[in-house]
Amino acid sequence: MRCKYCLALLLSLSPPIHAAGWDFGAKIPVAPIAESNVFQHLDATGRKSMAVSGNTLAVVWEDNRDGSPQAHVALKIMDKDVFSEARRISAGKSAFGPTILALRPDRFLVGWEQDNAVWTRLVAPQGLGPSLKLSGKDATQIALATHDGQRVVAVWCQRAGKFNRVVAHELKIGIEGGIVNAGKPKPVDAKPPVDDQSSPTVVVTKKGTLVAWEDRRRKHTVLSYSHATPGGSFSAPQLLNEVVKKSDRYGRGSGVTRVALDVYGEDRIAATWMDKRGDQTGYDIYAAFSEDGGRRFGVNELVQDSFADQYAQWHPAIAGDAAGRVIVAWDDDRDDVSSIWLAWKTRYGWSMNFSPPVASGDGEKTSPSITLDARGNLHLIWLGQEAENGPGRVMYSMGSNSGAAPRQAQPSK
Amino acid sequence: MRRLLWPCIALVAWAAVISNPGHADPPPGYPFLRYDEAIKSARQQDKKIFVYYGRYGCGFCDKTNKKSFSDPALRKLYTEHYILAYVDAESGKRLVLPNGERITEMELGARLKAKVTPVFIYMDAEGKSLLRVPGFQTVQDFIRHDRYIHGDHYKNQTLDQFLSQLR
Repeated sequence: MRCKYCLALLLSLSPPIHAAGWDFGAKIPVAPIAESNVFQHLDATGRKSMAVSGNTLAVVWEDNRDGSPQAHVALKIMDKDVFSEARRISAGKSAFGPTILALRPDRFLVGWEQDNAVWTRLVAPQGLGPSLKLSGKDATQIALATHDGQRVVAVWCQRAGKFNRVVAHELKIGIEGGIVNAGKPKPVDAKPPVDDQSSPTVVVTKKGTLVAWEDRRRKHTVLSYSHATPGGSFSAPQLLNEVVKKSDRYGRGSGVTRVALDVYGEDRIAATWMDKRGDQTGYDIYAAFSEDGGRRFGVNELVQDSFADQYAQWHPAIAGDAAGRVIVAWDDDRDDVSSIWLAWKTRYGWSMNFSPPVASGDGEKTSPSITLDARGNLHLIWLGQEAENGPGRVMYSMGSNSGAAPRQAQPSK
Repeated sequence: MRRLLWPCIALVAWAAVISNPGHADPPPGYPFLRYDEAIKSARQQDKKIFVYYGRYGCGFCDKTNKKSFSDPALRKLYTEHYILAYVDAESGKRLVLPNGERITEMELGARLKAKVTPVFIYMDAEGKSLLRVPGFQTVQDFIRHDRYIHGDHYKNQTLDQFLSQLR
């Protein structure tokens, strides 16, 4: 009996992490298109399909409106409720996996895969810069990052003999707006690959560059990361995920995939990914934090709440900001249909999960990408089915922090 | 001569380990195709499709390969009755769906709402799912599933109804 009163007292004193931390505005179609045989996708490696720079928000996606898959961008002035007309950023026979990076001010760098090579170009409200091919043939899955808006690190997968290998390449953005190649692409792991490396993602802080990727050298997928100080070489790869011991149940490893990174605070780094150590219930969402700019990560943390235990989670995205907030987004179908879910790190652990009403309910809502702006607003895009069994359309909504959460992220010890 | 025998056996065993490191890929000796190639081929040959949704390093995929797919009679049965497709649960390789949409193999898993590996999915030539069985399956399981699907019993019976008649 006494325990019951204690529990009631504790609950009444708990911080309001169960409360919805965000008030989301109306959903806005990013690139409305009526044809049912046009398919839009948000599949940037690291799920960086949206960025905010100055007073402009930009979204990139791939669709086949021109008859073949091509990469597109649309911009929105922050206080407007409509996106600009879609602009095609790719050429060639087909393009996939566009990603976007904020530069300063109101300027962006986009990257994409086109005809088995990776490309980049600048995007601004005034127009598109010239396209620059970054790789030779057999390159895929480009990701971009910067700390100062002038030095950009691009990473991608480059075929090296039998296997894909993650390479990093430095670009310099000129004041006049040109992109300059600085040096040649270099392997992140100096040792020749003995199996595939894939889905690389990258962040840059004043302490250096961190690259994380999927690695099959152990004959199952693990997440590796490698850090380089400014101007230095990459360290030997380290494991990001805790590897479950080999068994009949798990095989050589339990399965991990699709790592995403972002910077929070001044130079701390948060990572999230899909992790199958839960075995029978599909992938779960896990996270880890680095407080030293990416040299070391702390323990793995389960992000989702217990209401999601029986459901598979997909497409994790992550956003951090200078104020120290960290938010993770994904989709799962705990409500019988896929909805977008959010969780944020608080002083007490991960929040209860919250599904924005604009990104839940009838029709599948999947493939989120998120970013925080300097005012603390959370920008969310996702693929939403507007018609029953119809293809997904890129939708946008902005969430204002209602005060309940999130607080500055604290890694678990 | 006998002195040479054991080194030869050891060499053969070592070669077998090197050539088949035991991670979960499609079982050797089966003509597994990419998912979109399998659908194209199934349409041309008017055959049903057997999809093996596996994961690199998956323990129960490996067990199924070693204990079930190693059976020569099963290999003959499934090679004759089906177009075989293998989908890698964590792969970023792209494929084309029957409606023309291009997605990755992993995205196909998300669309199929596949929670575990392996999952075996029997489909018609248009990619419509007829039967889905998760986890390790014995040779006998695969033979019973084949009789249910290849015999068209799925059209008017559930798998449970069909299996109860066999008992």
